[in-house]
Amino acid sequence: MNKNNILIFYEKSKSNAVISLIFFAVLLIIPAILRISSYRNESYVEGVLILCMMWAAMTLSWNLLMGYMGIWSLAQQVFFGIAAYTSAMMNYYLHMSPWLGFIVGPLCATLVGLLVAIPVLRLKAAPYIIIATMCLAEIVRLIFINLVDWTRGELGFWQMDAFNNILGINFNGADKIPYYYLIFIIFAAITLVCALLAKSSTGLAMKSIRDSQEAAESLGVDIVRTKIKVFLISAFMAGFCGVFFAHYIKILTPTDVFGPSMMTELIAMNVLGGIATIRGPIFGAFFLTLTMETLQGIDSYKLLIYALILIITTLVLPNGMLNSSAQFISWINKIKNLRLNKKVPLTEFSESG
Amino acid sequence: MTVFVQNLINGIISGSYYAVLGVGLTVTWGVLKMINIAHGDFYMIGAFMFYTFSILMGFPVVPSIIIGIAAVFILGMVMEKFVLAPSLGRGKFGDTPFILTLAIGILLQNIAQLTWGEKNVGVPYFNDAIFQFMGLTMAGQRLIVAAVAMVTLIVVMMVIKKTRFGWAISATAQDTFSATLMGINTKQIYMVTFGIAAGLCAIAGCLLAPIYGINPWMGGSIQLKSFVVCIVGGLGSVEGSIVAGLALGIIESYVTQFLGSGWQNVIAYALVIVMFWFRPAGIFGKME
Amino acid sequence: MLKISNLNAYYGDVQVLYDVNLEVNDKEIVTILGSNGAGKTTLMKTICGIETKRSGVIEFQGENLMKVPAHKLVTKGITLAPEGRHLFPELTVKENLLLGAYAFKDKRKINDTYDWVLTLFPRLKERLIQYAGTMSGGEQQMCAIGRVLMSNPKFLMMDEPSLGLAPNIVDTVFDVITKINKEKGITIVVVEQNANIALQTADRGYVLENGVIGMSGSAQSMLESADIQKLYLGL
Repeated sequence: MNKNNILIFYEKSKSNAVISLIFFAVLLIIPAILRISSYRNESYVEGVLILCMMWAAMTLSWNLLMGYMGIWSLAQQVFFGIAAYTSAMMNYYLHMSPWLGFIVGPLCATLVGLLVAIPVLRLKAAPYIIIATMCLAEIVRLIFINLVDWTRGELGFWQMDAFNNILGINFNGADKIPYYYLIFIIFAAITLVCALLAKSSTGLAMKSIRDSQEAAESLGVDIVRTKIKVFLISAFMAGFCGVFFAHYIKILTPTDVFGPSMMTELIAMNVLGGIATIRGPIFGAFFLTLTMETLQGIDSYKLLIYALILIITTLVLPNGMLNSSAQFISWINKIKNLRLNKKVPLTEFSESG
Repeated sequence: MTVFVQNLINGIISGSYYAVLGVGLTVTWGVLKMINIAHGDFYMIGAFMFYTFSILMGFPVVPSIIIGIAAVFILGMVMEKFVLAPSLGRGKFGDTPFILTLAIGILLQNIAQLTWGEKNVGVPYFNDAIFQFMGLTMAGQRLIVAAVAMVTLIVVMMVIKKTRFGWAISATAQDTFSATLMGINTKQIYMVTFGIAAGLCAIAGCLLAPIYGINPWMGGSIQLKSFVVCIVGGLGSVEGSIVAGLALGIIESYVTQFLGSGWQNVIAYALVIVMFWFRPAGIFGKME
Repeated sequence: MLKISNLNAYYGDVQVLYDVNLEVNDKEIVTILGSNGAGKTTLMKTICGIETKRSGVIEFQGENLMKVPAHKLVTKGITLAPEGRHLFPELTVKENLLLGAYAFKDKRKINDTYDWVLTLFPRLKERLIQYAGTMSGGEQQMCAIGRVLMSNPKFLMMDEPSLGLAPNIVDTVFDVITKINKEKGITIVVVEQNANIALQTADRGYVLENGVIGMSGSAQSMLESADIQKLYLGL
């Protein structure tokens, strides 16, 4: 890499940092703007943005496993659900403060992360990992359905306590702003950790594992340690989102939090935005959540449109919407070529066979 | 003893369908080198097709089933041609086709919800007879269903082992490049194979519909079961899938007997995890 | 028989072949020499239409092959015995051989060819029901050559037939090449790193270097050329 390249790289990362700062600053002041302009649907907009941020945080946590490390673990919702359930059950049976859930919930999720990581460690081929983790997730869901005495089975839990008032902030009212800032902090923290992790030596190790385990091993990367570490971090992050969910949405059923539909959304969001980047999952989560929210009016066609978006993006922009600048440039060049060289195309490709 | 035999027979009957579904999935993996997460949804569409033709349009049972299977076969080929084919081979293990099948699954479920409504529908038994034999009770329906599954499995095996087309499938699965050189139109093989896998799902869907009922979400648990079957049997091994399917059916039947139906699926999935632990390549798979 | 003009080929975004011009006459044995990574295998695959990002003209008996899909070539009499043999490892030798005639339906002719192939390679006769993947390298190479011959080709390309084989088996393979050329009049293109034996067998030769045809001429003159001797014959 010559000096010039380093400079460009530096500039690029600086501009990325500026963009993300602006993004978070805008998110930070949106409630204030809404309040000042006394916008009528204030709490609706805040509610949507809360969901966006929660999904973005979840997708970021999964992106560590799938995007950076190439491990197709489809059990991310289990970490989310375990933490949510832990906090809800502590609240329901022991009447403990939901804030304690933020400590115990993610820890339980981390523990489950370890339990999921161990069988996955033995598997190398992605299809096996996919099927193993899907089975693990389904086992957890069935256990939560069947242990009716503890988990109340399919009924699940509802009407958990809201977060206690803290520092004079009231979480019990109709006002969504406290929740908004709570998830904002979680989201920002997870983004920061993911960004730092991606740049750290662990991040390099993760990427090398994704590209070739053999090569990573020969370079002295401790594969087992890196994998377990990332699994634990990822589960911990998902746990935070789960606890927030439990005391914000206040309804938990095994099929909602352990079923495969949440995982499907995570995959879609991550793939749409572009894997193995920080901005990709965030963009994907915001894009899909906002699109689905806009389509609320034609509810029954929502999933159809969702599926079509996923199919078209995957086929046309294989690297996700944000990572496809090279693709766009090549299209623009092609169009230019068509216009400039109508008589003699530069290279004529025959796509036979 | 009677209970034991009864369970065994029930297990074989449901197992034969796991085998049919598992074979479809495993052949898809063998030839297209991708895992199809929309497999269960083709099963669901098959059942709905049968329902449409037999109940809504009043066709007799056998023609409805045949039309239903043919429709899903064509649907599978169309999906392969227009959605999967452009993406095959992308990503490390075919991540892109995998994601696309995810989208196909959502698409099919939504289409089913829009077309047939978000509710359970049913079709009557083909045959109401009940056979009593040495203390065993067998519904005629289940016997028909089992017979069809067995015939299907035998036909699939024969086609793969004995016909020109079957050779072409094996050749494409083992070496696509070489298969092309032999004059095999591998893209066509991909398309037809995917269609056949979808058609096998439809066979299961049509024949099980009277027993289990039909709804847009019925593909979910069947999907995972088919995965279990082809993993335990070894990805890509047709014989393995058949053995694993039957085994899974029998195990489930006994587990239901002793632990209740709530735990039946837990055991099936736990089996996979145990399998991965001791023999990651499956019973019939080659160790890497 | 085969005329290639201005052939460019790409592997992804990387250009591998640059304006390749090449001609093969009827009933000839032509060898293409070149070091590793010179683009020889790409050239073979491009002619077969396996690598589809290409431009230029490939003409076979007056017909342009650029628009013909890869799997149709075998019915036109063009086959390739690929580098590394690419047998179907989990099919038996017999099934492998019969797949070579997959594109043809005339049972009698297939049987005749099958018998002829087995007389060419008597070793295969003992191995018919063995899985192809379990045979030794030499036997696999025989099976691979037998398989391409099953389609009764007019034009046969062989990519590194001597790769990884013991010297006596290399001799057998090249004897067979001469034999099928003389007996059946099959036109053959052999890509080889073993320049010595290739040039002794061939009528003419080309040298491919970094995707460009560098030198061409009769095999005799190439054997005597100082450059070739230095670069490829190790003299």
